Amino acid sequence: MFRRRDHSSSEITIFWQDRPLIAAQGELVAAVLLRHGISITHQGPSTGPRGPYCMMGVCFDCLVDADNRKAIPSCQLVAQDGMRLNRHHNMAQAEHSHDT
Amino acid sequence: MTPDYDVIIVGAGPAGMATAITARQAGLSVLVLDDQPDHGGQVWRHIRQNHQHRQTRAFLGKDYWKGDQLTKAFQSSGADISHQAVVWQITDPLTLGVSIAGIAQSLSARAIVLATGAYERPVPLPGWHLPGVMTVGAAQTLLKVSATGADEAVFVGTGPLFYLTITQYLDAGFSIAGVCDTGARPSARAGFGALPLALAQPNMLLKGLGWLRRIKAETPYYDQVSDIQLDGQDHVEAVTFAYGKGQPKEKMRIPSSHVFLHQGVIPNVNLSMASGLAHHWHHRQMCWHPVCDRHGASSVEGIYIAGDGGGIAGAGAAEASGHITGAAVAKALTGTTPHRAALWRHRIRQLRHRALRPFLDRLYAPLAETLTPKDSNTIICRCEGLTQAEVTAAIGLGVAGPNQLKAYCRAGMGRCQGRMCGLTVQAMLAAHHKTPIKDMPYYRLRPPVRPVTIAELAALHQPDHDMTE
Repeated sequence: MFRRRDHSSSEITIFWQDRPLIAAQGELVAAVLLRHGISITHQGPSTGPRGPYCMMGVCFDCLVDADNRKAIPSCQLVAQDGMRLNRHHNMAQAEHSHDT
Repeated sequence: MTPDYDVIIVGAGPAGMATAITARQAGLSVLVLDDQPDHGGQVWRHIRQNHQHRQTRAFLGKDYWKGDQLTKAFQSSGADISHQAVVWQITDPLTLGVSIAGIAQSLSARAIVLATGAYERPVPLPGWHLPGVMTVGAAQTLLKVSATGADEAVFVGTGPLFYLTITQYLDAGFSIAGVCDTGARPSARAGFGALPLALAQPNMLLKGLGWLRRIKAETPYYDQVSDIQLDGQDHVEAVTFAYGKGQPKEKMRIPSSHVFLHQGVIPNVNLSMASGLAHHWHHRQMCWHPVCDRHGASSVEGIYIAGDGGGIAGAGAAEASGHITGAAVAKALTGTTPHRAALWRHRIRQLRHRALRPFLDRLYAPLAETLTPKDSNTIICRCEGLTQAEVTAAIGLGVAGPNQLKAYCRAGMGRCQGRMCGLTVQAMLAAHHKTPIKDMPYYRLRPPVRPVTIAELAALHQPDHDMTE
């Protein structure tokens, strides 16, 4: 599991599928998710579960729904206090969803 | 109609920042658009924020902190900068479509410089799509941005970034379950022909040897790795591979839930291709380069290329190339070349860095099984979830090239717009038709080169110049 080597003085809270996660100020959403053991961010019927791969905005596999925006690459998204995030589903309802 | 800026630069890595500094010194108005949360590019990612963590993040190494100097010069250059600005098209005459904070707008310039850098070559191995499998560059980004790493990960690949990142992992105190080096020693023989040129950069050669010696001493290291497979259902669980000189090779399986892959980097050419610039296949680097002259002028009047987006040569060469292109833009727009003496220093620096490249390209050539995957279940197009068997079947129906393939199986039509499958599809088609790969075209890319919502496009703000003048 990913861990952070140093500790941030200013902590914030974001929500993944309604679960609160502690994040550091300025941390990327993908990094916060990985540190909390969440590696599946995105799911589609033709692709199956996917997670962060490139961390630089080219592969589009780390997509999440953030507040009211859909399909945002979480590796490009800086965590903000109170941010509500959900797994992105390629279609409105994928056949099965994975809970973490 | 007056353009919004003299120069608009896309990308704020070493090349983009250096271009901006030189163009500003010539008195030009400059805007830099960068899609990342802050400037520095991938190589100096998060450098401005890391400044305050210099003691605790010393593991990032000397070459990382070298970025401080250029970043500071850029910040005081007077260039305007927009972060998280996504450029999705360039239209005639020299006008960019860009989304900044979710708002689309149109910006014009007298010259456009593309400093879009590089990204890691796709590594289509069996299981590379599984959560838990990431690139080595991604592992390094996590280190840079939040000192985050995973213990007991397996590194699979080769190349300067591969060895550097493993060394940073060791310095940061993360344990490593295995290093699978895919650099085949026999290819080193091919590399030696280019060695005399590479001796122009002895420090860099010694640095690379130092990394390798340390990795061999401090990690479970396997050489001449091939036949790689990433196993798991919904998450990677293990890496299996063959290694060593023996015939047959030894087999190994390392259980791990974190695997980092790397097979070198390639220029990020989606924007330059979609903007109609001419490109050529670079045989040694096995990727497409935009055609440009030694100052960075492309085949389209007014559009320039700076840095690794024009061919892989590394951060030092990119910085030099930015200054050279900045001076060329200044010459074109003002008629005079600024700082001639400095310009010569940048030219010499660029030559020295480029001298090393043929040697590195040969020594760290990508593994054959990642170029034309043979395993039928390997995912080729990640966005559409297409396997090697599905793409092969579509090609077998008589598809002539990558564009036709889209209609047969949707390869390359997902959100990444071919970035993760384009080179593989090109190689598979070339192999099927027994055509040299240079003669097989790439996908025809069209704007928008980055996903942009219909709402953003509909709200596109078109300033009414008659009203403001």
